Amino acid sequence: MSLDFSTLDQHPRILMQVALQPVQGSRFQPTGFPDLGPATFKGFNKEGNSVDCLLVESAQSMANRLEAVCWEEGEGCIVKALDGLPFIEVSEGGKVITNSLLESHRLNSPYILESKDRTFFDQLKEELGGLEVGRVDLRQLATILIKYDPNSLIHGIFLAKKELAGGRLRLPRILSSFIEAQKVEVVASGGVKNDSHDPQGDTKKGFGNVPFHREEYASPSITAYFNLDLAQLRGYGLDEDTNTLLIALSLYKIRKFLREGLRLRTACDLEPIEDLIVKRPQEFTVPTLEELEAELPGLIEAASQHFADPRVTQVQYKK
Amino acid sequence: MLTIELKFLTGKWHATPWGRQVNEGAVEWPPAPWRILRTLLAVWHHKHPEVSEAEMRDLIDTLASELPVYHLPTHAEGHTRHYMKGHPKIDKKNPEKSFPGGKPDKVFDTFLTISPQETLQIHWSEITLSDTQSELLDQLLKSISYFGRAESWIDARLGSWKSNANASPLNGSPAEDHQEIVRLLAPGELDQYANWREEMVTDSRNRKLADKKSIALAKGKPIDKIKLSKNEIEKIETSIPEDFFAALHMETSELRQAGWNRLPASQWVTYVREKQIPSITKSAVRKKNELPTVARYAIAGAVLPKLTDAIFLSERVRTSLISISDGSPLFIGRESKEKPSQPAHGHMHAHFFCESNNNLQGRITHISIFAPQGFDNAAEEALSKFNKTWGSGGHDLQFVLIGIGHPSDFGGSNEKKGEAPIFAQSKIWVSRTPFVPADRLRRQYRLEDPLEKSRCEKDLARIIRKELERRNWLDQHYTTLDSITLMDTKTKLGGHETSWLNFRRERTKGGGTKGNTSGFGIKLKFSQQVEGPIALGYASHFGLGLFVPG
Repeated sequence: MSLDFSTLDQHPRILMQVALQPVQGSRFQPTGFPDLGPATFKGFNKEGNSVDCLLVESAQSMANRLEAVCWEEGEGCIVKALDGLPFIEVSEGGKVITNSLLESHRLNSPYILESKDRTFFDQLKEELGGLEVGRVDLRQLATILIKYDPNSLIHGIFLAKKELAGGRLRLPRILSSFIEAQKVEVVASGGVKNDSHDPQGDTKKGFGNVPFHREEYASPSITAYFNLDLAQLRGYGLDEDTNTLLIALSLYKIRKFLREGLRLRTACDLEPIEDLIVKRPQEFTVPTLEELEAELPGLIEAASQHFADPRVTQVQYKK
Repeated sequence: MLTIELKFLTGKWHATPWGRQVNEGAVEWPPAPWRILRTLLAVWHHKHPEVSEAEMRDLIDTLASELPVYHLPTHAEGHTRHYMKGHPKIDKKNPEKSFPGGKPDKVFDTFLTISPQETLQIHWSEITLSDTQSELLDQLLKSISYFGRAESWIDARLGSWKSNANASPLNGSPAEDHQEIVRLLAPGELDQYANWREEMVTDSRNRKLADKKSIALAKGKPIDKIKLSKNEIEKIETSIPEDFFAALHMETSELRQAGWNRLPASQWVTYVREKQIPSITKSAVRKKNELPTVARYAIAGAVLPKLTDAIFLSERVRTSLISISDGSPLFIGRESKEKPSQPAHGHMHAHFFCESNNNLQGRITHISIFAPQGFDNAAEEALSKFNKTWGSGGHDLQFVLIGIGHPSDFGGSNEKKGEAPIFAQSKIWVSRTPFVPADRLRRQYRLEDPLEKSRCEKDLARIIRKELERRNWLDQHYTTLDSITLMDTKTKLGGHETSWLNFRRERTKGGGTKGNTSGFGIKLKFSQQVEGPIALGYASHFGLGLFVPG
């Protein structure tokens, strides 16, 4: 079957959510924010009553997680379903060190833009040359991003370099996501790392008994939210094949994340309780992961005229 | 009549007010008229390039012709903090201080939480849109994915006004007790803009020409043929937006480059909104019929002072609060406004306690303001407004109000969780900052001699019991105090041993009796658990003589 996104034509976005629960037990480890620890706050439930809430995963972190599912860590390559999708690979001294899929800031990574080997930087600068003065032409910027790294278009980009159009090149995310828990309760626990041979040993060197405390959370309501901004995507004026690819790629990321990316931390391993719910437009059904995997190679080829040749752009990082 | 309705899909609203720094922890509420118009512009550029500029101008000019009123839903405040990767920093002399991958900057993300079921309404009573304008606005509103920061997902649409306004322009009349004032950026008088621009261009050209002539004069060159070049004229012309529509497009960077401190074609409008005590303060367990006694803040800044400078920071915070509260005797330390020369009795007025919790460098991370007499509404309002100290006497710092409540709401030993040890409960309390006796010791003691040390402890016990007696809120501790012992001459601060003598022990201004210039580290043992805070001796209102559970 081919994917049919025609039901989305008149809709500005897709809003999706899915209820999650810990894989085992009822506790989960919160994300730790500097100086703050877990990000708890007072929110409101459906009845409008004030409840204790916890930010389980921020939008920034989720963007990186949705990119990580595109990379086969063990094999050191892009996942099979996305083979042929452009990205930028960075090498240092002949050894691959990172790529635009793994870098937090994607194309704006210092390994890509701060290298003393300015070959790619100059090429990018030249292609963005028309954006130096006047209002930034978002469509032109989108065309360049599709060429080198379509993921930057999905997760947003901020090319914070003066030499590139005065640092004015930025696009918001098309796909946003975060995870929140409501009615949270703190679960305090702890223990002791025992050293039966020398309980009084130097703990700095790993000897001795070391008491530790631990703080986890429990919640009856953990929800992952996803928002795919179709109006934003259409605004870039890309052709239909490319739009279809980007929608399918975004849905693939969500499906794959829910299938295998929910181990957020050692002690925060979650799973969906139900299937992904589409809140808007309600008549739309998200294709399964298998359907998306089957269709993506064809969609990538259909949009390939816009990609860089070769698809994987090589950048040499020199300090 | 025109009404826009917004629902906050994630239950959160993030937006930093114009002219404020993100780490000040301020949230723009209600959303400023200028922000509403800029959002519509952004949606047009990003999502509807097929709409002509003429249509957009027509709609924006119409919406800018009147200041809206708002119906604000119930909200509460929250915040998170992140480290953002900053610019690479290489320090060849101190490689350990280098950040080749970028120095992390701490950024506050302050937000309001709003029930996703509740609606924010924005209403223009005098504006009636044509069908074409209405259709365009509806199209733009439905395409807004987020409003303010990208995390504020919203659902926006045209609606009908069924509410009472609880935020509206002040229009010259004074704010009432149930209202608070907020400045919002809004479009200025549009029909005046062309004249204003003409004056600005003429002024700028004259200034530039005068500058050129004075340079020529200084070099001894003739000035009669000096005029502005085409480039110079063009630069002046382009630095001042052509009209309101162009001004609305200006970015902050352009604003700075052109030397504007405020956007052209804009004005600050004073709005009043109904007061709502943030629910974070409501959530604090209020003792029946008791006023809250603690306001706790997190601190952010480029350089945080060390705990050894606590007395300085406390003085700066007190000065700010005196200014914000229009000289409240609670913060000054006076009996009442009517008796400005009579000091407050019983130490019931404000104390400023600096804390260095879970900080590897011993820097101040929090400040808690504690007043045993309690904060009345006016004091609470001042505490809610307080968010920065600046100017002489230290680096600029931002303060984010964590909550207002009682010691039991904040106390605990888990600093990582944000708990405050100074408000915890314990039988044993040890000095966190040096105790400087307000009364004279009977004589100088040679503390290296154990016998002398024991005599000194007895002398200090006498003084400390007096101190406890003097404080109405500590007199119950007097009866349960078992023993007082002198600690080492050093304390652990940020993982390092710091001498008590390294702490500032002198106020820069104001009085306070001092019996001894030394600072002592003291251990207090009680027969039962007692609740903090415990602050005794000289400058105890400024953070000296502060104890934590031992």
